[in-house]
Amino acid sequence: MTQYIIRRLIYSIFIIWGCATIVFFMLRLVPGDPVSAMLGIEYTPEAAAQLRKNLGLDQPIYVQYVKWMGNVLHGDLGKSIDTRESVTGQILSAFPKTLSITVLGFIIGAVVALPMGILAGLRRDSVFDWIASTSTFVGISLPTFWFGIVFILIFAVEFRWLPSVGYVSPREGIWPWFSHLILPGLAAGVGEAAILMRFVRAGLLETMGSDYIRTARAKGLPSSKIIFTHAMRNSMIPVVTVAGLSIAGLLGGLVITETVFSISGIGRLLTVAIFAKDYPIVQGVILLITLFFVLANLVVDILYTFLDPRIRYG
Amino acid sequence: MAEKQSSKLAGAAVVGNLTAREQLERLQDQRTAQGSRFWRRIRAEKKAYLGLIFVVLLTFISIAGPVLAPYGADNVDFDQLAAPNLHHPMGTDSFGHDLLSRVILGTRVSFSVGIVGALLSLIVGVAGGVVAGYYGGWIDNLIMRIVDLIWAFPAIVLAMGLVSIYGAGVRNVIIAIAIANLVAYARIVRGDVLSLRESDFTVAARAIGVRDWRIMLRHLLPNVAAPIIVQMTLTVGFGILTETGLTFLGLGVNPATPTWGQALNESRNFIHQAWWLAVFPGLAIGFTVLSMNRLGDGLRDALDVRNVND
Repeated sequence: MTQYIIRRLIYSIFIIWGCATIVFFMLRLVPGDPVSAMLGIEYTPEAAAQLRKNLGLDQPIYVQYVKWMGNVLHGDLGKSIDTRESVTGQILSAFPKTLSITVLGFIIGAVVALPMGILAGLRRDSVFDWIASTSTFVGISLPTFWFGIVFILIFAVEFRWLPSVGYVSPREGIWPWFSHLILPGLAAGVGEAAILMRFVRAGLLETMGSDYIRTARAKGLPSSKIIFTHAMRNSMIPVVTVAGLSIAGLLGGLVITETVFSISGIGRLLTVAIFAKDYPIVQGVILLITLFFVLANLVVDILYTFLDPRIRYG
Repeated sequence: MAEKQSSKLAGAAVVGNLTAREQLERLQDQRTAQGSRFWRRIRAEKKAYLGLIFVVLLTFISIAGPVLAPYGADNVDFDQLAAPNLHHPMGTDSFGHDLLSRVILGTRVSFSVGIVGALLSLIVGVAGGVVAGYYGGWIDNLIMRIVDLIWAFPAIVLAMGLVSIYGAGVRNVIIAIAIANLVAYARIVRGDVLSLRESDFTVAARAIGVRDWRIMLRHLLPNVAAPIIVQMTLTVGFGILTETGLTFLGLGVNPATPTWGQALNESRNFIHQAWWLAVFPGLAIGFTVLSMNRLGDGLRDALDVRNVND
């Protein structure tokens, strides 16, 4: 098992290195002169030379690459062209906002999906099953940011129960902080719930039809014991994978949803930076998101070995 | 045993005695039988059938949009931000455009971007998957590691990265959708080809000297067609979601074009006055993607494709 984990770890490092390399070359792929694209109307030969020097673009490409990688390893992602602040600092101040919505969305998704998925899986073709599969289809067919807009329409504009936009730091009070997170969290949670529900149902359906469940029934175990100690354990394995992978989807969806709620998380940071052609920020945010995604995968794979002994010994 | 052998031989002889025309007719009969079985299965699968009807309907709307739309895309002679009424069933936007007309006209953009992007990713992904699975070794390793790398970027982030380099616009959105989605095709196809490579018909084809590209094209591809078709319908849905998301952010299709994403973007500014601006374009997106997903899911059951989730 240790060997498997070490192998996965090395592979993840390889993938992260590959992603970093791609992100490094991003700036070099910009057609024409990236420096004049970044400066826009502020372009003067002096400013261009200065910026080129700041970005290290005046050096040979292999020197640039080695330097950039070295800096990234030290957590230095360069300076923003717009604000001249450190990219790492800006990302660090934006990330907690995105992370709190991601976590809330994940919790909401799981809280809705588990009971619904279990009911649908146990009572196939019942009303629960119909509701679960219909909401799954609706949930995955509509963009997360649209749910955000609709929730604002219902809960903020119509009923005035919750604030519609913005983010408040938890230092200013738990409720103001949380109340601003509920709507974006709900929007993120809808898609999450839709995907998870589908897998909980499918996993349970498959397990409930297996021989060892029939054996458990035949020896007279109570249904609750069969479901919760025998069936759930096996049917949750695919759910864990999907849950891990869906974090990336959540994060990806949030990139857009943050714009709906005017929350200055990393998605908003990325969007604004793309408009401003602020490449160091674009590179930094993309690198962070892929890092997060690869790590989520790694955690899922390691969890897997604990959940499923077949992988451990196979 | 001997009897069986001889009857088999006799059967072969009969086939041998048929004229070329008769043999061809026989083959065609078999083909139509296969084709009608395909249609029978789809019709038996209600989900797929309903999805197919919706997709055909949407295709018609996207082609005939300019004729179907009650008003032109740039017709601004109406009250601004009028609530839905008899003349404007979906209301009007802040410029005084009829929203129903804009939603109908937006079908074409989203639909074609989704389909072209999905087709492009199908071609590249399937080609990569077949080559990787068929040759194996370092070629397989190289292709699949590239696929792994692409997979590490969430689709929308990949698309935003590409747009930040090459700029917004329909072409770049299509390229972004194609790259982000080719992973699924490559993985599905490679896995299937890997097992088909050792099958008798491939070995036989290789033994009589059929060239590699012909084996891949004529013998392997038809055998992996079913999961590809299913994946294609799902990719169109993803593609439409990516396009509307990017356009919503202002990073997609030119804002002057009537699109669903653009309409949703505008709705944010008038969320307190005009709910219809947000609701109807969103429902159009949902209906389209839902139809594609239903078709894909139904086809999966009809063609008996195992569930591929990554």
